[in-house]
Formats: sequence, structure tokens, C-alpha cells
Amino acid sequence: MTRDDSYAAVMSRRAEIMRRSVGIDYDRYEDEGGIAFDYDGLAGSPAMAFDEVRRIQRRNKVGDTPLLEVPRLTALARQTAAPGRGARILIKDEAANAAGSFKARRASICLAQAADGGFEGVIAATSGNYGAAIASQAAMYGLKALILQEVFDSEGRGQPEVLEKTRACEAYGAEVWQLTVGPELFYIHLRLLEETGYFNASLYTPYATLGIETLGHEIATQCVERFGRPPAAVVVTHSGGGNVTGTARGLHRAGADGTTIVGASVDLTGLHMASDRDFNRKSFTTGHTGFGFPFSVDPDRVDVPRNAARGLRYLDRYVTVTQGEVFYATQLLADLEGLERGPAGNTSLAAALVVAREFGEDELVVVQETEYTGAGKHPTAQLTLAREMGIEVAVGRRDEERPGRKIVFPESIEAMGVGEVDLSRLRRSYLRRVAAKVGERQLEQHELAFLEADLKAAPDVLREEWDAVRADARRDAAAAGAARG
Amino acid sequence: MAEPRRCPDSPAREIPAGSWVEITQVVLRAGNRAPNVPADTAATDFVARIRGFLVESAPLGAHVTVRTLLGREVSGELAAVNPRNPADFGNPVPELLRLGLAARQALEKASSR
Repeated sequence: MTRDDSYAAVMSRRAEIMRRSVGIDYDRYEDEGGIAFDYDGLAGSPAMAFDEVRRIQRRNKVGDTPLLEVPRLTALARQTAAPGRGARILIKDEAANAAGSFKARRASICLAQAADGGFEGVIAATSGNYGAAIASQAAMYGLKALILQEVFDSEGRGQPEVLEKTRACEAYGAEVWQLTVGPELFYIHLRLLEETGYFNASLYTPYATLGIETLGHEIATQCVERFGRPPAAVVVTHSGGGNVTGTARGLHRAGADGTTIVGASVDLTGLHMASDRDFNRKSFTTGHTGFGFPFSVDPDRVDVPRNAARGLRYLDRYVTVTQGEVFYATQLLADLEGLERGPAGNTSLAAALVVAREFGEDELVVVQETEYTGAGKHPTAQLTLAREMGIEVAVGRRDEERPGRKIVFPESIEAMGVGEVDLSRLRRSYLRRVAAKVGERQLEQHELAFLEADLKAAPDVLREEWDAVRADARRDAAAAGAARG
Repeated sequence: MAEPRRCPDSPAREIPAGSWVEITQVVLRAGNRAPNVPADTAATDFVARIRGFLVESAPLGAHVTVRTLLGREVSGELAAVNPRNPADFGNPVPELLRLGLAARQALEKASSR
């Protein structure tokens, strides 16, 4: 009998395919009611002690990356701060990992799980550094890696950063499927999982986030060893939520409970992530609001039933920066500190150059990652594409940037800023989805407790936001009823 | 921008078995796309490009099978031989060079005060 590989048929087999390919029984962690689940149980489910995680990573050329001082950037940032202000800025040089990014931390633990499970190979659907990290880690285990990437628009124009990632994955021996724009990447993903029986190296399993905990842990211990104190703030590029989740959990694990977790995303407001037209009008393929916002308010919109990466659970503050500011920060890092990195990983650097102004000179602000640079990734490659796409590139004010139409470099560090994301707005957006699910019934006590933790909200704050969302939902329902009547 | 990856050879020439090639596969036709895609995307085919070693000699445009780096066999239309990796560093961006220079000067001015 031949299998029905039509879109509808494959999607309907989704739950079964996923269960076989990730080796986690998610039903075990579900609570009554479909809203809450045992997050700590799921996050703690990998049968792997933290020391074991570190041992695997050391063996696989991952972790123990340098925490670099950037004194000239610190001095420049202090020029814009009040007297006595301007934290010392440090950068965790994650480009030193095998395959050149922090994603090796996630990949190393996913591959350990796949190897333990006796899988022949792994599949990852990712256009970013994760694909190269999976391919590189798979090479170390002698496992097969199949990587799916969104690369081309319908005119065959490739995003240069993703083209570079294709090259890297093939250099590590992977089979790469380069795809045109569209969420059907997930359909192909399921089809190939079914066809090959490979392991699904999802970014969103507890193994993937556990792999990043070492990053937060190293930051805390390196700061304490060298400076006698944990960082006042760690700035994390925020996208799908794994980077924030793993880093925050690692910091807590090391006892750095007072450290402020600041998420940072590139502002791509107005560009549609599934649009063929918009695809090559963005200079960043990840670390942007097109992922950061939807994944925050709907974390379970992923390739596994429950996402272990949950941004709102760990974020203390969330800021946006412009594409132009990240390119500028990348130039400063090269020009003042002699480090060519990124640019995408420098999203958190751009934010840190501004956030550092608020802290005292004796405090530490850590930029939590760098990534390798190269052909296609480099600012000159991305800006060349932007200009070919008719996007204006200029020096000016940050509020003049228009994603997809105009990229604006700040004329100096004074002109840099951050946009504050209203976390209450994101929480209410998350709660609207909950309201749509539960209808008129009241939330149970265990559900309220789950939401307080999942949204990092005090009970009274959560209650107030929930009541407001509920009232809006009732008003909308009444208005819809009146319109029908 | 011109399509950068097509082979310039004439389509009639046989590509020898064992060549490193690129094939294309239309995964979903326009009109059969997922229900949630935006209109501009829904109007296009969902296409995959995969590379591997050609199993049997064939001319460009033929339906062929390749053996990928994983040893798997995948079929599609033969699109290119030894496809070039088109990613490069692009053109210089003088605005960024000037801004970097200005930042250096701002730092030097401050330290000489």
C-alpha cells in the first residue's frame, strides 16, 4: 500500500510522526483542561545530569567559550551615560563553538539523545545557524543529518545568509533541501521524518534548551571568578525563546537570581514572515520581532506538542533595535575591538550598548552571544541585497527606519536607542488565546498558577490582565451577536 | 537580479553519471498551497532544490535521480551541474566605513582630554 503524501494526509498524521521522532511522551505532562502542563516536569525530563551535559559538550567541541572584555566599546558607551554610569560590557564569544554559534549547545544535546535512541540520522528544519550546528554535531557522531531551509523567493533569489548556511551544512556532510518561501516547510519536514525514520532535532525540546543552560551557567561563574560578582544584566537575542529560556535557567542554576534578563529583537514590524515578496526585504533571518513576538504570545506554535522554550516565563525586559543599529554595532565591534562577528548575533550587542548606560560603572552587562561571520552573512552582503531590492540605506534617526523600505544607521553611539516592548501587552495577547480556548468556563486554581509562572506575572497582575481580556472577549462576542441579529 | 545558479551548458548535452548536480522538485503547486499562506505566496509553486551525485547520465531538464551526501536517492528535474555557491561579501558600504572612523575619532578625542 502506498502512503498518502498529500498535504492534508501528512498533516493529519502529525502527532504520530512527532511522537515517534522525538522520543518524548508529551501526554505525560498535560494537565486537565488543555491550558496548563507540567513545565518543570517536561524541562527536567531529560535523563541527563548537568555535569553530563557539560561532559558531552566538552567532548563535542562546545562550550567553555571566552568571556571577552570590550573596553573601547565600554568607553564609547560611557560617553553617552551620566557621570558614574555606564556598565562594563562583556561579550560571550559563542562563535568559538564548533560550527560558529551558540546553537552548537542545543545541537550537541539533541544529537546525544538521537545517538542514545539508536537513530540513524536527524532532521532539522532551520534556515539559521542551528542547521550548521546539527550537521557539525552529527558529523562527530557519524550520524546522518538532513537539513531543511527556507532559501529562495519565487524568482529564485536566495537570501545570502541562508545560502552560506547551505554551503556550511554540505561541508559537514549533510543533505540539504533548499525551499522557496512558505510554512509548508513543516509539511516537508513531516514527510521526510516519516520517510527516513530519523530523529527530529527540534529546537524546542527540553534537550535543546538544556543544552543552552551551560551558557547561562558559564556566564555567571566566569563573572564571579573574574569580577567577584554576577552580571547586573544579560542581554539575549530573542527569537523562538530557547536562547532566553536556556540562558536564564543556567543563570539561576548558578545562583545568579538577581540578574536582569533583557531580551532583544531586531524590529521587523510590517514585514510578513510567510510572504514571498517580503522574504528578501529583511536583512535578518532570525533574532527579529517576526519570531520574537508570535513565539512569546503563542509558544506552542512549534513542531512539538509543548515548547520547552518559553520567552515570557523568563524575560524581565524586552527591547527592540533597528536593522541599521545592528549593522552599526557590528561595524563598531570590528573597528574598535578588532572582532568581526555576526551581524545577526550582534542584536544583543546593539541593545547592550544602550542598556549599559543605565547601570553603574562597577556593574557588568553581558552580551550573551556572538556568531561567526562570513560570505552571505556579513553586513556588506546583506546591505548589497537590500540595495538590490530597492531598499534605501542611509544615516539618520532611528525612528526613520522602515523595515522593507529603509535601513538607517545611527550617526553615532548617542543616536542609538532601544524600543521598549510592553510585556503586559504580550501577556494579554497570550491570554486572549487562552480565553478563546476555555470559552465561558472559569480557570481552575492549577491553571492560574501555571499562567502566573508561564507569564512571569504576580497573582494580582495576572488576575487583572485575565479579567480585562475576558471582558474584551465578552464584549466582542456580544458585538458579533448584535451584528448577526 | 539574474538567476545565478543555472548551468550555462546547452540543454542537449548529456551530463555524465557521477556528476555533482542540483535537481528541483515542485513539492506543492500554486493553488495547492497550505490554507494559511499569504496571497502572494499562494500564487507561487513550493519548490525544493537538492544536490547529489547523478545516478544515470541525462541531459539538463530530464527527470533524474541523485544520490545525496547521505546516500539517499532523491528524484527531480536536473537543473544544474556543479552549481556555484553564490553567497559573497557584496559591495562595500562606505557609510559604515565612515561611521566606524568617526567612532574611533570620538574615542581618541575623549581619551586625549
